Amino acid sequence: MNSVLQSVSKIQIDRLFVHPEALDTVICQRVAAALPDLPIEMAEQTPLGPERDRLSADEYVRSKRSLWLTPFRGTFFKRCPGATQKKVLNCCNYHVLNLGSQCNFDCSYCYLQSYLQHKTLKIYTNVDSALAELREMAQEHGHLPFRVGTGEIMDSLSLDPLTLVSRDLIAFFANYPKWTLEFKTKSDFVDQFLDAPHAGNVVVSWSVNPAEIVNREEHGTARLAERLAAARRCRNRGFQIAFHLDPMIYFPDWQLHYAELVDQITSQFSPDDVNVISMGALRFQPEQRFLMKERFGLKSLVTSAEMWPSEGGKLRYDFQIRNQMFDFVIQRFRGHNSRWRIFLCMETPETWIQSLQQTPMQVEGLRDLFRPLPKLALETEVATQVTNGVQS
Amino acid sequence: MKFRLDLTHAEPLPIKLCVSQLSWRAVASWNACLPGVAIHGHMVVMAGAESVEVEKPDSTILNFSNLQKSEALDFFSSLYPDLGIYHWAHLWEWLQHPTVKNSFPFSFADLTEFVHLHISRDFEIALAHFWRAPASFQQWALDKKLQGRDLVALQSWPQALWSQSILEMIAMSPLSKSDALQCIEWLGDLAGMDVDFSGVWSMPAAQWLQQLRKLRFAESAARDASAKNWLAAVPKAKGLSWQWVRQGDQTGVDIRAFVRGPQELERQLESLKKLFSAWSGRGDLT
Repeated sequence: MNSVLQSVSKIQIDRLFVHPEALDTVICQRVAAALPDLPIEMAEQTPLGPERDRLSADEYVRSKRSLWLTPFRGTFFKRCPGATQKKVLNCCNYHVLNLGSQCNFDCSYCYLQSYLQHKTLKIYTNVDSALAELREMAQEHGHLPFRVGTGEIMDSLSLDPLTLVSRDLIAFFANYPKWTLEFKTKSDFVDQFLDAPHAGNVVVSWSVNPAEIVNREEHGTARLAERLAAARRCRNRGFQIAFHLDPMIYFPDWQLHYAELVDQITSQFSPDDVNVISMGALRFQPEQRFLMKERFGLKSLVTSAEMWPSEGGKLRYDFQIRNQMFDFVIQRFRGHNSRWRIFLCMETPETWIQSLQQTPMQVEGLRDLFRPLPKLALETEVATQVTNGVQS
Repeated sequence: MKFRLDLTHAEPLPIKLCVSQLSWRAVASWNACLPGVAIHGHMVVMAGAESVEVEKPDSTILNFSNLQKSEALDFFSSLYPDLGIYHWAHLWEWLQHPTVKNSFPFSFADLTEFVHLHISRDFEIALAHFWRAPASFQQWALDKKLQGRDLVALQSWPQALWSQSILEMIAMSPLSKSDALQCIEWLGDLAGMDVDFSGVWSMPAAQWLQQLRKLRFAESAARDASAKNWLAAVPKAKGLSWQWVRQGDQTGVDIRAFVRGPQELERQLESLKKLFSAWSGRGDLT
């Protein structure tokens, strides 16, 4: 319990807003108990002013320290955005459960800078509605290997010591052993759920980068050694773990630094410990660059990078640079052990073939991840509406 | 329904008695035969109407003194249906002036709301920086019909850049609007990266963009140049041409052939095989 309190003390929240309908929820009670010195400010509408097309640098920074607990009226569960670009990208059938938005960490490359319009962190308090949504889906698809992550538009665990939602989700997923729940994080906040009984279908994953990048570009996150230590604690409690080398950053001596990172992982974990290693290179929407420059200047390895427009519209490193980086890391892992399961995140088939000489469906151990799954009821409904001309 | 210019609502007003003047150049759409116009004694059309001799204070213009807010908004937006960042910046400043603020029938916010102009972050940035630019650049912004989003790159310009006469040089140059805006962004980047770009100005303006690109994408430029040199040294058969090209994040060889007969085709195929061998040996270019 001491370690959980320590985690709470590392979370910097300056203001706590609560929607009237959220006041009596378990989530609100937990957060209020964890932050007893913070007065609750009632907010029925988006606090700190209306949403904007793009926040200023100051507004963006403040949004990371103002927390709004509110119910969510939309659909919690959906396909990973990568899956919507199947024509140009190979994607891994990942599904996301969004239980909030915005992140209290401050990575220079964060893609949330391209579209977040509200001035607070949001945590959705009607987790029971999210679970009801999942339960309904389970009636039809409980036997299929759905992979569900909670770290798309927020870090899965960076606020979890306040909300303890991880425990609710782990308990829920214990009923559906074919499904996999993934917490994706750059924190080391795992102690709050380590004692929770689980069905072996929970993956705790870390986005990792060389210490140099963590220190320069991933502000407010747990340091690399802290993340790896947290991963060891999870492994020791029977949780599956995974690492995402994403986004890989190209910088002087990158080989040296990424080699060191791979060596740190392989010296502390075996291929049997690690569910999967994914890789992706730096990429972002072009319009995001202005806010990034305003916030981090041009000394950042991200804002000063040589980025080019790519198919799909995002800015990316030169194709050859990406291939060199992926190839280098893959060879480094394979040099330690050929059984490491490595795949590329949101990359084109061409890059797959260049780097891995195969498409994902040809790779033993990855095939299951990429095998198409049936459309969800909601997706079918939307598709029907579009076909019938309900949506323009 | 748009406001109709009803002269019975207007009265002649000597320019010298105007409370204030909105001082921008006439928009092209302003009909030269129309008179100068004031709203509540504030002159909102200063030039473009040839009948208004603004240099002569005794000239008179038509003053609409009884317009309510909605009528004034309708009238004004009919006069100026197509406003760029130049106009908005002028309006922003003019409407904030205490004399105008207290007696003009609408505010800046009223006008943007009336014309459904969303005050985006980019627009705010443009407004904030517009007045820092030299007059020649402001005029260029008017001529090129710049919108708010066009000037967002100025946000990352360090102070040192503003103190140089770069925007003036750009305004005076023959660069197209898109090339000039790209220059502005890369100049901000290079200044922030402490890259010396002073040598660019000794070159003709037509080369500025290319030179700035070389500096901003120095590593890629060096790699592309090396690839071009390598490719140029590979012998090729008659009728065959190739060049190293970049298309966004991809680079490669653009190959074209014109074949006049089977023998020539055979020679070209041989040539392509040699290219294949040479390229296969260049791991850095695949």
